[in-house]
Amino acid sequence: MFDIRKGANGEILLSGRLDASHVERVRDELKSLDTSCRVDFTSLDYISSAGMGVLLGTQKRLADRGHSLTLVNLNRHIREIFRIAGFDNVFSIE
Amino acid sequence: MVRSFKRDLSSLEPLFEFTGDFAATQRFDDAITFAMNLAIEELFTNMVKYGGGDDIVSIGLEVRGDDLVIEFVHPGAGEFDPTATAPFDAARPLEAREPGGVGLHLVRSVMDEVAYEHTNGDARVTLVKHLRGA
Repeated sequence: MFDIRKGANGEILLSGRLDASHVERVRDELKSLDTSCRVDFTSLDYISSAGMGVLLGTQKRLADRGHSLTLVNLNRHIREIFRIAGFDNVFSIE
Repeated sequence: MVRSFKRDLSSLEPLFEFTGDFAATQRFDDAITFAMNLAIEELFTNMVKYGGGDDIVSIGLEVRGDDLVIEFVHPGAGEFDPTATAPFDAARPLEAREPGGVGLHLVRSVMDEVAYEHTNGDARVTLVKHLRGA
């Protein structure tokens, strides 16, 4: 079970398990993003490299225009694999 | 427990049910379960994208002493050694990053041992996670 939707303040809310079978949906949702945005991981239990790749691609595209994603409320397992991948160097993580 | 899965991303749902049942039976904590799911998804999706060979991959899960042992068998697969890929540079800045490569880096990081052999036309990948002190 995975879901992605916009929150009341324009943030992106992820929930459930973001595995490789859901990345096209995430890509579709993020491709129209053209300004800085917070991505809320509060309800996200799991992510793999497929979902991380979509976030990275979005970050690169936004950076070219002076914008960025801020990732918030990651659980400790996701925070750890983001650290292993060096994502803490390329994203603002709160 | 050994189960076979069609080499397709649609298999991820039943694959996670399989690992979830095993984790519940073994009473794994959420750190072990997360590492097991991540390593299995990364290797399975690699086999879906690049493996060639048969359309079926078998995955075995077993607790052997203090270790979780995960064994993939992919009949007819081409030779691709996940233990011999270039080291991943996690310090690269955003502008130097390209897609790919991080999945196997994560597998090597969350597992304690990764072994590969290609014999009689079959690829076999064995992952070991120490359950104590994890």
